Amino acid sequence: MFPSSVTAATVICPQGCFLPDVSKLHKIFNLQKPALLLGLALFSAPALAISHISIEAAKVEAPQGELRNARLDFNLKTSAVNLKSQYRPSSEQEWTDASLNCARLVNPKKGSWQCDSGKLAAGMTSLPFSLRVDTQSVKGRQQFDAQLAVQKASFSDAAGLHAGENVNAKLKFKAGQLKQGWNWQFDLDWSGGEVFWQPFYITLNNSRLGSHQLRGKGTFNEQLIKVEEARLTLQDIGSADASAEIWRAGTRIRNLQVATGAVDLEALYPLILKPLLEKTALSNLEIAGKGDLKLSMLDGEIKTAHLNLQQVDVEDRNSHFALYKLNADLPWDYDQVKPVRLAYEGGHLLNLPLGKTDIKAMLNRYSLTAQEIDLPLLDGGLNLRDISAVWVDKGWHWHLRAEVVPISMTEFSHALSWPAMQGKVSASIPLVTYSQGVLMTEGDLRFKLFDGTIDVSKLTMRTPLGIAPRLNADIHMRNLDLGTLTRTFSFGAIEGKLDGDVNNLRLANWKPVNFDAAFYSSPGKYPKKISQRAVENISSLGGASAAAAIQRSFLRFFDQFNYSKLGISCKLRGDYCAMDGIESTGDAYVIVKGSGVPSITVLGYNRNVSWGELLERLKRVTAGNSKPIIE
Amino acid sequence: MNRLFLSAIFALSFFFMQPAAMAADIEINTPAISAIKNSMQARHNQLAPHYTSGAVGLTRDGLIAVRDAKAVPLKDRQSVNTLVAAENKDRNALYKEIAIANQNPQWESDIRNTFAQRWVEKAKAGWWYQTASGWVQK
Amino acid sequence: MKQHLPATLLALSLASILSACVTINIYFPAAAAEKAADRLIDEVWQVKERNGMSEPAATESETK
Repeated sequence: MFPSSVTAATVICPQGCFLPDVSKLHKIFNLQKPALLLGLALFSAPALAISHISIEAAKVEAPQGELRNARLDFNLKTSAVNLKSQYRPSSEQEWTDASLNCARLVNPKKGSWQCDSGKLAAGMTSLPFSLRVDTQSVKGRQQFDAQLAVQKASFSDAAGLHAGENVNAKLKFKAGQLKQGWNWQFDLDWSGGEVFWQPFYITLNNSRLGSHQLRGKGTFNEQLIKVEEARLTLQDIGSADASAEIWRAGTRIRNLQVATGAVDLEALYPLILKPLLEKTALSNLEIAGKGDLKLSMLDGEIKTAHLNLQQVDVEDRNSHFALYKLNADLPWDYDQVKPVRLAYEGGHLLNLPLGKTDIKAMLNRYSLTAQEIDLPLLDGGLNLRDISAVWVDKGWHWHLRAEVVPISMTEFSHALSWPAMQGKVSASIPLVTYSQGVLMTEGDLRFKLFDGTIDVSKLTMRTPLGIAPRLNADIHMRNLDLGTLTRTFSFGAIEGKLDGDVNNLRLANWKPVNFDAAFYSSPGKYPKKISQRAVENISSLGGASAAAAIQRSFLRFFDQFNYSKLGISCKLRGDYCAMDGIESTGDAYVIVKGSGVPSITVLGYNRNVSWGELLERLKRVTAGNSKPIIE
Repeated sequence: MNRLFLSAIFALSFFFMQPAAMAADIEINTPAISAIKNSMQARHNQLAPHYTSGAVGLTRDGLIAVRDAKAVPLKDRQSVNTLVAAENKDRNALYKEIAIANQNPQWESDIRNTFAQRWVEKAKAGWWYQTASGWVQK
Repeated sequence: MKQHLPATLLALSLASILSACVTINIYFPAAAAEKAADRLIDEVWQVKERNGMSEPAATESETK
């Protein structure tokens, strides 16, 4: 703090005492540590036979803030020093009381000062300390040696975002004058307490001895602070070595090299990584394994980095994904293209088991490219080609081609706890692009399912990982085997083939809010039969009474009926579905048109149906809750 | 004729509610809004003690903010920051989604202002909220 | 046929003006928004958690 002015300085002391002149006082206040050095300066004066000295300053102003009503007391009998004042940082309105006490300030030898049981108190800061300073002059050059120990110290800024409690720490600091500038050396040993330095919370494992340490040495002059070597050691985690040059003006980094040893990620994650990854998908992990990082900076920019992961197991606590035995070698260079490699033994993504994978790619400053990535998945896999990703404007933009190597639907549906399905799914996606939260596909995704095909075209997704993801697509289904389909969803047996078109499909948060859907019998010749159970189920979608009606009629003697055509359509807008069938008869529409003897025709009357209600009933039917009543 | 006699036509009507007449209503029942609402509801139990302690307060722009981190033990302060950030992300998305759901994206700021007032109005006694002149306890 | 063109254009432009008026006149329904906000806030803050309207209804229909 450099005071810009001192006003109304008065010195009160008994008769005959030594009075420092006002010009000297001003000079004293101009020193960097006014409180401490004010005391030191006074003691170097030959003050004899005086019991008590008081100095008061009404106001001290500095760019950082102000002091007022400052009063320094020195009791010569007990060697107690007491400085009291009120201060106000320039950013604040309120005055805060501050005091600096030293129960005994002693001067064991020339140039040595020792303060035992001192205490600095200001606002929410309470810093009990002991301090010893040795100064000497060797061949006209100043040498300082300070040792500071704080015990049960607590501090906090007004907002509480930088605060510590019960902190025990020791600091050794040495400085010596050189021909030009100074050399310095420090050694900080933090042995207890907790600190919150937003966003980090750091504490010590109190169950056993140990400490976090920071030591370093170097030089400094008018322009530059040079860190020749520094080492940070965190208990139970590991250590990092660094060297740096920092411009004093604006605290800009001229160059910096950091290298960590093998760091225990399990201990590092909650302390350092989790707060830094708060807004990413990696914010809630369980992680174990080792890793190390090398980093170099030049003129404030990262030049090279190299991250290595060894045998790391990662599991998302929300069970979205997991990777086991992950090994990664990720070099990065601002100027050069670097090959990166990432491999894992297994894992899962959204409950789908991932097989052993080895990914190789090239990293060129902010872009990543790979010819081909194979992601084994269940008995098939995902084959990605021509992958290119780039980090621009704080976001990823990427594109790739993808092919689903046939995956058995039996395993796939089991993994996702869907109803057991048969057949295989395979797909090929000509081009997928992702940019600014929007995922788009060019060309059709083709799935082979239920002995037929399902083509998904015009697929776009907005913020797929956000809170309200949106999906748009058109879906075309051809020749789906109704037998397999109805068995899968336990909807009574229907034999035949089904075509379907779902156009203008819009999902919000994976729930449909808009579509124009029509399902109908595929053209061609094939057996068309519908079981009584299926008829009842279709009917019970309209309410319990309709299903009961069949049971009351002679139709209950027939297991199955022939049909010539079936179909239903629904135009969904919001929560309401405008329904229609294969043809209209007056105010009703035909859903199943019978043929042969006996023939059964299912009609729908209500053309405006609540989608939520319809789903509820469908769920009850497939869950087997509305079993036919046997009379 | 025989065949005609045997055919039975089942008229199966769908007994569903007709859509209620839409008055000048604000739509808040879309899947996107529900998802956000559920996420906020699940978070509320964690946030409520911080509203009561004064650690977190309601801001003028319909969000929340850490008002006094000192009301929370050091080890939990970052989790409060995280909660506040997540809640604000949801609230911003909520105002936007309501505007979209009502086919008037430009209403977002009106909706935000309405909510800003209503959150404060519905806040429990003792909770803190922000006014033009600073934090006030209800 | 060509003589009809000006009339058609006139009709079209009239139609577009009319429809334009409709979109411009949309105002923010403050009272409705307030009501909607209150409903949503009650749910998020579980102001009426004791009433528990939706869940019992669902179980009731399932036991039918």
